[in-house]
Amino acid sequence: MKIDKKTIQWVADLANLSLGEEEELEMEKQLLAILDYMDILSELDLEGVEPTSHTLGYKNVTREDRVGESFEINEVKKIAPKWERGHFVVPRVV
Amino acid sequence: MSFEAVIGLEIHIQLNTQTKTFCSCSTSFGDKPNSHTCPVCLGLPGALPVFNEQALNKGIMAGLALKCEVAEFSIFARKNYFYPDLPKSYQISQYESPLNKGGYVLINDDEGKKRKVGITRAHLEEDAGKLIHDENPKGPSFVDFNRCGVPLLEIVTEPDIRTPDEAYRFLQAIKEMMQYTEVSECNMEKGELRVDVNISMRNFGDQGFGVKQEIKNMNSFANVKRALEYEVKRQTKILRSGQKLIQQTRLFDVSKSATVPMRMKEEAHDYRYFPDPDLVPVTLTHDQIERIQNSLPELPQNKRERLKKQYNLTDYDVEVLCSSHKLANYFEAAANGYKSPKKIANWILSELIRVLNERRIEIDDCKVTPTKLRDLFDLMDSKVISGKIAKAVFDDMVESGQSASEIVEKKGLKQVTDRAEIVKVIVETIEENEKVVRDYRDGKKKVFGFLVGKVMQKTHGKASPKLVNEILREKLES
Repeated sequence: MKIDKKTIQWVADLANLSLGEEEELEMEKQLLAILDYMDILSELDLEGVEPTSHTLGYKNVTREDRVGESFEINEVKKIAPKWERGHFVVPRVV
Repeated sequence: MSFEAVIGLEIHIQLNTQTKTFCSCSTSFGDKPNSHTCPVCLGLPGALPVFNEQALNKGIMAGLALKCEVAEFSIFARKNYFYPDLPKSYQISQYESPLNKGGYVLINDDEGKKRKVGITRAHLEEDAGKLIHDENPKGPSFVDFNRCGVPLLEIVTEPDIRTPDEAYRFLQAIKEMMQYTEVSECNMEKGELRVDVNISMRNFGDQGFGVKQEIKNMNSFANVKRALEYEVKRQTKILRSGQKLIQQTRLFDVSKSATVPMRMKEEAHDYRYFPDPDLVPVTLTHDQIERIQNSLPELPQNKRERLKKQYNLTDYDVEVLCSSHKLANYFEAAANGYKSPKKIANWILSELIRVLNERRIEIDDCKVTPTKLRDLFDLMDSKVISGKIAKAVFDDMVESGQSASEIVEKKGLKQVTDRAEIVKVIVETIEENEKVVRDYRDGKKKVFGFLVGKVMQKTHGKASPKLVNEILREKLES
């Protein structure tokens, strides 16, 4: 897969991030390195190998449907960057 | 040239669980905003989601009710998109390996013929938070994350629906099924069932598809029908004029009874799905699935057919009784072992439904239990009270929760069946209404009803109507 400036801008936009020109270059370099590294996989013969969806080999980890502890409102308030009338306040999107 | 509509639906149904999909926060509705939140559903770093076993059970039951193939292997995926109602910036959903695939629902088409609507898939996912926008269009939005992480089942249909009425009937059928199986309460006011529709038009008889329009997020079946009717007209008009449609996402504006284009980020549709590394695969054995299949309650269509046959009811009776499994179960509990079940059905369809509507209560909240209703019928059958008095007693039962016999005793409503007592009142009545009695004897037979009325009035409706008729006629003819 090729990473260029356009891809970086596209991905940044999807994540609602605004990157400066230098940051874009930096990201391009880093993501390229990651993808190059992952390319090692394509050297393997994976004919007939099922895609892995989880690496630990666990399955069916569930919990009982019983109500446990939630945050106190005051704790939630502390986490919120901005808080008003019991709600998180965020800039409007769309 | 005539056109036909091609309609597919996406239905989100809230699964009936105590806790959220991946954390133990409560799902209860209408509580203080943001009071059901924790590190998992707020997407705090390092929090680990653990799947709710009840969400899985309900998901499987729904799949089986929809005649789907339940997957022996399914996984969760991250659906990535940026929106403030989603603190993790991704929604946990299912993509490549959904829990249920390839089912169908039988509905009646507009001619009343049975038709299959295919179910493409029915997968599990978590709900997002609720956004409230400031009145000022430039102002901020306020977020309540109580709903964030609540388990949903998304049902996707094949484009098999042809008319707005079919869509309406399909939704009714889905809602009944989900309520019968207790997969969901489907309370529309609480947003527990939400519908997106896809609709395009094509020349009648064509096999291909036209340009599709998506109408998002409707929470009433009547609105879905109205939106579709509007789209059929709008699209037909555009196509007739020779213009082309462009693919759009629209919203239904209730006040205008019209669909309008929805404002949204144009590039928003790149979800970059990938398997969620925090969640492990779900595997099911054939035996497990079969066990759940066997525990599935009777489904609406089967119940209608059985009740009709077993209790000798009409199509109309079973249609109304089975519109809610609770009402149907109430009927069966009351009618079980009773000599004329049809009488009980009639009572439920007239009196019981009347008081439920008047009081805006659910059958669960009605103080007259099936056993208490049977007691009332026993009093009527043993002639302790007349049918007319029974209605008044019933209203009293609904109000006070007391049993029929208690009320009859307390208010002295016992039917008067003592012959001597009735004779006494009749003789009195005849003396007081000489002129009417003369009329009767002169051949004006229809005044008989008037005299019966007088007798009933004197006994406060308690005299046995049968005896009154018998004795009054005797006295007048003699």
